[in-house]
Amino acid sequence: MLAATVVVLFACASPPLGRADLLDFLQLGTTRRTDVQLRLGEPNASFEGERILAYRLGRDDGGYMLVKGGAGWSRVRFNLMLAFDELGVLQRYTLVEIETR
Amino acid sequence: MRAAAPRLRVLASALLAAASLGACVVAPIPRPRGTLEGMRGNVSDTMPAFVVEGRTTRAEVLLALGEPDRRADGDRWFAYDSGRRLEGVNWVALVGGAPVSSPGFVLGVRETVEWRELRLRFDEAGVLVQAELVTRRQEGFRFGDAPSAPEPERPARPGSAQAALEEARRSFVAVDPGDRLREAFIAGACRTDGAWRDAVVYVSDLAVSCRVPGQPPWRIEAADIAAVEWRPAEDAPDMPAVRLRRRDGTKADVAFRPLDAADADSAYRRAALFLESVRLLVAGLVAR
Repeated sequence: MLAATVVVLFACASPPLGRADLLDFLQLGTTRRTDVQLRLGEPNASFEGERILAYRLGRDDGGYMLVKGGAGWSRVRFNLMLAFDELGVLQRYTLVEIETR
Repeated sequence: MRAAAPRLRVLASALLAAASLGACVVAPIPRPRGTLEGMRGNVSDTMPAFVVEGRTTRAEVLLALGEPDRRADGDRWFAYDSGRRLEGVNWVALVGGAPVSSPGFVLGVRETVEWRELRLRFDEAGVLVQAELVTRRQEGFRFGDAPSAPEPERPARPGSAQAALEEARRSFVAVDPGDRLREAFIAGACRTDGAWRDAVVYVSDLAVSCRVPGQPPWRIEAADIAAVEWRPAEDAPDMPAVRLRRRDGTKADVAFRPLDAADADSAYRRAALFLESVRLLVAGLVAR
């Protein structure tokens, strides 16, 4: 009975999906747009001829996670905004807090 | 008061008994306050300090606010939308003493929601040329639990009524150098000399003005408006109208007509928004 209860409890407690190191590779003046797209996939949106890319992120106890697709901002906690120069090198990025309950 | 308390206790007991016996009882359940599900929360109720017309760039906006909710016109137009529930109550059916969780048992919702819309227009170089923060408060009751959102303003297709409105906004010329446009309303008809004429009605932070093509514009300063009220037009019963009463006793009427066949109820929405805009102006609530 006890074992069954423990199994049920573990089954209900899903592990965190987030990764604390998801954004550690971002280095200003070094990281290239292609590096970003290889690591994070296609952005949610791009602007100014792909000089600015936008990714949507959620966060849990484990860290950040990508939130792909979908309309609206459900499950999205941050907008990662990345600005590149004309050579495609990262010049600036911000983590915009979308959800401010 | 003492006599009422036992009666309330009896009523409460009866409701509980009815619910616990399987009967259906309707009860109010508070709705959570804060940002509405699926909407962003980072549109403040004041214009962000970094937003300066003629200086702020599109890139700065994107890095500060994130991706916009709506974009158009080759990214020369952005809109950021937010909705916050200030207060709300679900009227739900209770069966057997417990709320039924199925949304179908939310019979109705009474709530107050504040909608914020930050509209930004950029020039070809990506520099901000116009920033506008529109805040609307929506109060009321609706049946069911379907979300209710105001119809967002979208960039116009050429030749449409919306395009005409945007052109009217762009062509707004301040009579007073301090005038700052708050709202423009297309196809309002202003009664200037006994006849209704198609017009554009502007509400700035100083005055209400009406421009009729080929006619000199009329303008009423906020300080000169004694009252604003609904005014059914006898000679145009299908057009909701608003009457402005000046302090000197004279009046000016503004009527709204549907812009086209698919726009039957928008005249009422525009008239209500115009009425509310003028009331805010008169109450001195329009931020300068």
